Amino acid sequence: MRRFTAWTAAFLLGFWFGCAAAGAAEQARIASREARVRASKQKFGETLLVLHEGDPVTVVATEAPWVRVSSGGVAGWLHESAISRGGTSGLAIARALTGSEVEASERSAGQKGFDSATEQSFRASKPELAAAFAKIDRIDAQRPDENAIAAFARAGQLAGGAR
Amino acid sequence: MSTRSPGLPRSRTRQDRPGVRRRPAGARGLAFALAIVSTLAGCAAVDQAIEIAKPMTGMSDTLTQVQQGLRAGGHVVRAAAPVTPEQEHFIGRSVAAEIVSRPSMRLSSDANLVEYVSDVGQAIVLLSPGVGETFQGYRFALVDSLTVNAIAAPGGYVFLTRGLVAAAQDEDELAAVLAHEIAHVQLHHGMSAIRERNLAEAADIVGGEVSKQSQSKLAGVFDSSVQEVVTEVVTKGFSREQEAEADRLAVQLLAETGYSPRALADFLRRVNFDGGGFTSDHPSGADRVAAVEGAVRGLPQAPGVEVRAARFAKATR
Repeated sequence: MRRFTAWTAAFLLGFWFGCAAAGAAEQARIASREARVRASKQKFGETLLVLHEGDPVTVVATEAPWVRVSSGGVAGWLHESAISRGGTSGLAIARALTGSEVEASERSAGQKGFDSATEQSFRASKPELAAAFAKIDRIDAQRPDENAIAAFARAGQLAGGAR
Repeated sequence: MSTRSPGLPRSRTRQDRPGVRRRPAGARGLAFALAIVSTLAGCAAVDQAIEIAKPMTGMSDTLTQVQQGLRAGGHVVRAAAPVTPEQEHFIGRSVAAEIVSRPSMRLSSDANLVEYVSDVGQAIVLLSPGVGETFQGYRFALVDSLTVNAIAAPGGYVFLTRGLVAAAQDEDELAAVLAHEIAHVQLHHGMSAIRERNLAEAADIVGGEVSKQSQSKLAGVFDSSVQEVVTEVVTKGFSREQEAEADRLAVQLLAETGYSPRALADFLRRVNFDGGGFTSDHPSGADRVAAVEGAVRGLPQAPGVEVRAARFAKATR
C-alpha cells in the first residue's frame, strides 16, 4: 500500500509539472477562417503572418484578451478568440471523444457538424431561399478594408485609430 | 453516487474474478493517477495518453473504463461550448438568409449610407479589444424599412433599418445601437435559442458514422436550429436579462472604441423600443434606461462627438 501511494504521488507530481511545462508552450489551432498575426496587441496594424482555420500555433504567452503565438518561426499577437485551445471544441469534441468507433479513413472525411455541406442540404430543401442566399453571399464578399476603417476612426477621433 | 458495502473493497472483488491477473502496485498507481488526471483535465489529449499507457501498464480494461468515463464527461463540455465558430457562422448565414427573404426586410441600395453604417460598426469591431473574432468577421447591412429595428444574427450578421438610423441623433447614438447588437453576437444570445435536444442530437450524429441518412438527419437538425434562432431574433425577441447583458457589454465596447457610452442611455431614453412587431425585442423601459445610466456614470466624456455628429449629418441627409 505504501509503495502504491508512493508511485501514485510520484506520478501525479510528475504529470502535474509536465502539464505546467506544457502549458507554457500550449498548442492551439486557428478557429476563424482567417487570422492575421499582428506585431502588436491590436486588431489592425502590421501583419506578420496570415493563418487559416485549423492551422496549428504554439501559444507562448497570454495577456488577455491577447495571446502571443508562434508559427513557422514567426511570433506575434492574436485575439484569444481567434484560436481554439486544445485544437477542438463543441461538436468536434463530441466527435473526438467518440471517434474510436469510426475508422481513421472515415474520420478524416467524416461529419464535421454544421458546415457548408449541411448548408447545401438545407438550401436544397428550401429553393425559395436561393435569392436570399445570393444576397448573403454578396454581403459576405464585402470584406472590410482595415486601413479604410482605421482612417475612418482617425477622422472621427476614435481611440486607437489616431495612433 | 454509488455506495459499496464496507469490507468488500472493489479491488478485492476484481482480483477474485477469474482471468484477471493481479497487477503490480506501480501499474495500479499509474492507472489511478491517469484516472485522476483524466477526470481533472477531461480532454482528448489525455484520452490519447491513456491509449498509449494501456500496453505499458497491462491494465487495458481498467483504463478503458477510465476512457469511457472521460468520454461521458464530454457531454458536459458539449453543453458548455455547444458549437465551434465555424458552425455558428453557418447557422448565422442561414438565419440571415431567412431574415432577408422577408418582404419587410429588403436590403437598402443606398450605397453611401450602407458604407457609412458599416464603417461605424467595423470601427467598433476593429478598435475594441472586447469584441472577439467570429469565424468570418462582422457584416453590417441596412434594411429599407421605416420601422425602428435592429437584428443580430449569430456569427456577426447585423441588420439595421433606415428607420433606426433616422431615429439616431448622431454617430455616437448609431454606434451605441450597433455596439448593442455586436454584444448580442459576442454573448451568443441567438445561439442560446437552440434547444439542448438539437445540440445533443447533432453531436450524436457527428460522433457516428457518415452516411446519407446521417447527413439528412443532420440537415434536419440544422433546419430546426435555424428556425429556433429566427424565432428568437426576429419574432420573439431576447429576454430582458439578455438585453440588459448586451447593454452592459455595449457600454464597455463604446468606451473602448472611443464613442460616448452615454449615447446608449440618450438613445434609449428618447426612442421607445417597446413597440410591436420587430421592435418588441428591444423593451426600453425606465429600468433599462436607469441601468444604462448607472453603468455610464463616472465614465469620461469621449472627445470628438461634434466631429462625428457632423459626418453623421452629412451621411444621413
